[in-house]
Amino acid sequence: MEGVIPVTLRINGIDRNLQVDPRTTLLDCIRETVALTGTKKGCDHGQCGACTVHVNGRRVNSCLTLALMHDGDEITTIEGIGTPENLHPMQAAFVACDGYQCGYCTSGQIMSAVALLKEPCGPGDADVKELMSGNICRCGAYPNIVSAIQQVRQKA
Amino acid sequence: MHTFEYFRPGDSAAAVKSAALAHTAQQGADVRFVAGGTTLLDLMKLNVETPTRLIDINRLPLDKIESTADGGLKIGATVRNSDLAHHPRS
Repeated sequence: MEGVIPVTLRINGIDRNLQVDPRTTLLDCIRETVALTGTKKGCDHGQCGACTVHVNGRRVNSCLTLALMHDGDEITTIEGIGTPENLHPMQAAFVACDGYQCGYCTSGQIMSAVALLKEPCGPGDADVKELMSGNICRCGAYPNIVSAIQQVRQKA
Repeated sequence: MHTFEYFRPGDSAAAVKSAALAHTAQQGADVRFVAGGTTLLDLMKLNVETPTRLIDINRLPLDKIESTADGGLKIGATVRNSDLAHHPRS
């Protein structure tokens, strides 16, 4: 293919040697090229947070960054933090607290929430809401999302 | 999105030299720096910005927040908004 650029992304611990069009967003690369579809495309404009993944341990909107900007970077998606048999504590808390309705925003919410655990965040619900303000839930599951995050933080 | 040439300079001088190829720094410039990309990539998707060359400055050592002698703050071009928000001086 003409105009493609080689890039190596370490996604969930596996090196992926890819050929990408320079215009490919990290989100499209993860979903279309690598076929990991747990990461969702909501608005594709950085407003909803459904596409949140970790790059070198920090949360980013994968729709607003290009795949080739991440050559050699460590990418973690929802598929990389837990399995159905061995959920990440945040995934288990979302289930326990019913932190979703339709579930479309959930992988982004959980990736954001997992990153939040390592960020300077005050103890209150309002602090969690502020740090989760980049993740929109159209179903309005916010109270249960906050409960799930606070449950994990209290156990930590 | 229009396609573009991607360039990752090794130092700030190379980045500035590359950007100087553009005739303007205003909207629609031929050459654009990309740091976070929040605004630029969004506008490129909408074909509002159509750079032919993209200069990725993310690997340059520009992520420091420093106090200046006159009491101000010097904020590096690749400082993340969340880091700035959490900075004790902000």
